This record gives sequence, C-alpha cells and structure tokens, in this order.
Amino acid sequence: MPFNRKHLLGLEELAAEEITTILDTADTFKEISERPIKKVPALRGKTIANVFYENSTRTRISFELAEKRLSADTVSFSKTGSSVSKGETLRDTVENIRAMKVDMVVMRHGSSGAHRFLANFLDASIVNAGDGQHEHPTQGLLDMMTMRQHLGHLDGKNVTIIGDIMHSRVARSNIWGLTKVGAKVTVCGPSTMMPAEIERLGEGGVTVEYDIRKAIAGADAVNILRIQLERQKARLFPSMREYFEVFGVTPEVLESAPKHCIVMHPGPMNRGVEIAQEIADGDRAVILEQVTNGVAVRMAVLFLVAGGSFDSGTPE
Amino acid sequence: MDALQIHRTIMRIAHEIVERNKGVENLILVGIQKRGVPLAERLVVAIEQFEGVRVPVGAIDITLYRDDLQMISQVPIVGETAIKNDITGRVIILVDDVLFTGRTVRAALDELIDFGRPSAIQLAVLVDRGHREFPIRADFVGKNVPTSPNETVEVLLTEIDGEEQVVLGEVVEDTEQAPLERKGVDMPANAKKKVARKPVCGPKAKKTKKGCGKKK
Repeated sequence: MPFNRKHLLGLEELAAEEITTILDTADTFKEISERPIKKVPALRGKTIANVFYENSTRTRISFELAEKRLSADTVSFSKTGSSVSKGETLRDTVENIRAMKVDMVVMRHGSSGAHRFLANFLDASIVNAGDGQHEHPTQGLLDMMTMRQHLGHLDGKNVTIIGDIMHSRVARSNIWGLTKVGAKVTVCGPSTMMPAEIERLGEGGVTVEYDIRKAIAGADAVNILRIQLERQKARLFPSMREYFEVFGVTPEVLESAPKHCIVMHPGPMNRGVEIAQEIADGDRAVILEQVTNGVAVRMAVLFLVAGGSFDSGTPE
Repeated sequence: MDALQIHRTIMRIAHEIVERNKGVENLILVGIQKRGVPLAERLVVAIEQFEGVRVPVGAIDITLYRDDLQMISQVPIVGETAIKNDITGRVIILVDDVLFTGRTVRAALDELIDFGRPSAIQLAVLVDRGHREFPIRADFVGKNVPTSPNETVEVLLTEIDGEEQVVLGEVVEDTEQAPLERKGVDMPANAKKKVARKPVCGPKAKKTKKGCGKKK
C-alpha cells in the first residue's frame, strides 16, 4: 500500500500496510549507507529543519544523517541559546523558520500533541521525533525493523517491554506499531510506573505482568527502556540498586526467555540499572543494529512523507 | 515477440556482448529494476553456457535518481540495489527491457558512477521503441519496434509476470499519471494505468486466436 501521508505524527493512526511499506522501504534504504558514496539525490533541493526542544544526541544526529544522505539541506535548532529562552512561543518559532521556505520540520517537543497542533496551521510536512509522553514513531519503526530482521514476520511474535512504561513514548509507539501488525505485547515494570488501563492500549490490547521472569517467558524480543534518575527522586522506586535487583535484565533473568530472544534498548543505557553489563555487550543484544537501522528508517520516513499529500486531519 | 523469439534474442545479445568486448574479462552485468534484472540474469546464464565463465551480475533501482520524483503523485516503491563488486576499472553492461526516452538510462548512469569509476558502460536492451529525449543509444538491441507516442510496449517475463511475451498496447484514457505515461519512464508496479492491450496488426503483432484487431 503506498504511503500517502503528509506527516508522520505517530503510529496510532497508521494502517498495518502503511507500517509495512515504511519498513520495506527502510530495508532498501539501508544499502545506501553501505555504498562508497552514501548519498542519493532523492530529496535534493529540499530544506529540512530539525527543531529540538528537548535534548537529544542520537535521534538528532540520526535524522541529520538521514537527511544528508538523501541530499537534503538541513538546519538544526535546539532550545538552549535560542529565541525560546527569550520567551518565543512554539508557533512563532516555527512560523519564522517556515518563512525561510523550509519544506519539512522534524521536531521533538516536551508537550504531547505539539506536532498535531503544528500540523493544523503549517503547510510543511512534520515528522515527530518525540512528543512528550505520547509517541516516538521513528523509534517504534526502527525497533520493528530490527525485530523483523531477526524474527521474520512479526505477526504472532511475542515482545516484552520492560521499564518505566508510564513516561515512555517509546513504549507507546512500540505498542501501537507491534499490535497493528499482529504481534503480542507484554509490558512489565514497577507498578508505580505502570499507567492505569494500559492493557487497553494498542490494537487488541497488551498484557501486563509484574514478574520479570514471567514477562519474558516465551518472548521473541525484549525491549528495555531507560530509567531516568528524576523518577527516583520522585519516589517512584526506592533506589537504582533495588530497581536492578527486581527489574534489571541480567544473564540469569534472561534464562527464562527462549534462546533466540533478542535484547533491545533505545539508548542511552544505564549499565547496571535496567541492563546488566554482560547483556549490553553480549551477543544477544542488537542495540547497535538498532542505531544503524534508525538512519535507514528515518531516510524511508522522510522520503515517503516528502512525496505524500494526505493529512488525516484533527482527531476528535 | 513470443517466448522462443525472446530466448533466441537473448542468446544473440549474449554472443554480441562477448564478441564486442573480445571476451568476458572485466565485465559486470547490471540489470535495471525491475525487468532488466531477470534479463541480466539470463544473459549471464547464456554467456556461461558458451564461455564457461560466470560473469558477475548486479541490480540497480533507479527510483531515487529519477528526474520526475517531485512530480509524480504517488510515491513509488523503491526496489533493491545490489552491486557486490567494485566497478572501478571494469566494463558495465547495463541491461533493461525497453529503451524509450532514455531517462531511465540517464538515471542509471548517474547512480552507477556513485559506486565507482567503470572503464566503460554499455547498454543492452530487449526492445528499442524510439522517441529518445536524451542523447542515449543502446549498444546491443534485441528488436527495434517503431511506435507512436500513445502506444506502449510491455515486456512480460516469466520471473515477474508469469508469462513470456512482448505486447504492444495503446493508451486509451488519461489518468492523473498521464504526463508520466506519455514519457514512458519506468512505472512503479502500483501505478494505475489504463491501457487497452489491443493486438496490433502487422508483422510485429502477437497473433491472437481472435484474429487481428482494428487497424489504426
């Protein structure tokens, strides 16, 4: 199914076939990063603004590389040392950038829904690089691409997501993307960080499990989320040590999972908190592959969105 | 052209390639997606039959190098590009099914030189239908099929279409892709195309059981 959308705001509104189209396209784009000249002229002459209101290294660099490899011109704008510290509103900032004839905006913002807000008045294409706790669609897609490479068709596969589900846009995008293509998702984490009614999220819902060994029994892939220090200060868990004891993925814990189960992490990792050193560096972890796939997925998304014209409109 | 004619033509082109290049040394065959790829594979098999050497073969998808990428309304599906050998200093034989305006070949040339610096690039096509818009010509031609701009030439191959023939057709209706169709650039598989495949009378026609269609 051709992908005809003008924006990528999240995975929730996509059809399964659209997700498959993006992943298939990403597979062909991966080869470009292995050529001697890592560039194709597909977006030549297009200008893309990376507008990052939240700190990010890997996502921003990944997008920048994707844009440059498609021959687009890129400008990057981050919150620190910019007009935002002078009190400029989101709308004004972006309209100013737009007045410089920018064709696409890749944005990360701390408020859920910021991108939908922009899409309603901006005629540039908008790609969501993370909005609040809502979605991080390109991360969800690159996670799925990595799983597909190791597990084949995702229909019927079991994926367990472990960590701070409540605050994680990565978890939400994973849940939407995976359930849409028929995978079975289990979420696991401290009850203080498990949102109410999470079992209803996604197409067909997810399973909630608080015992990590039960959560990963039968899992084909485990996706480990980063624990943020701030959550500990907010008393959501007693200490990093205790988190590691109960929810850390160690070689011993991983024995409850099938032998072929792959270990994923969106990064950056807190070694010794959510993931043990030996697992992070071990051969079941595909974390660096995720990063490589990230550039390919973002190239695919930018290419497809640049050619799209369809806007799904404001949700009710 | 029917299956036997296609087969013989491919055998002849294979011989011509080896003759022109005085052997198979330093050759790489590269098929242009989509139908150039199985044609390139068949040429490699044919060359192996009489030379005993298996020439390296690759595939390129030119979608990202198209000159009309910003104009087509449906985003095309990008196929696989696989060139496993270093092409610098070697002779590339580009292979495609139909040569029409030459824009596809132009895109293929631009893409190939991003991979290295070949010593030469030669072009082999199954059908040359005329109407070049760029100064591009084929080195090896299976069959010359003079056409008018509102006709189409489709090559159907077993590997992709499940049947073997070359069909002449006529465009009957304008779709929103019409400007693209008139130029005959390689179309994505998902494009909506309204073509009446009327068998055209004449020596190049495919004879159907119903007999010849109307003469134009």
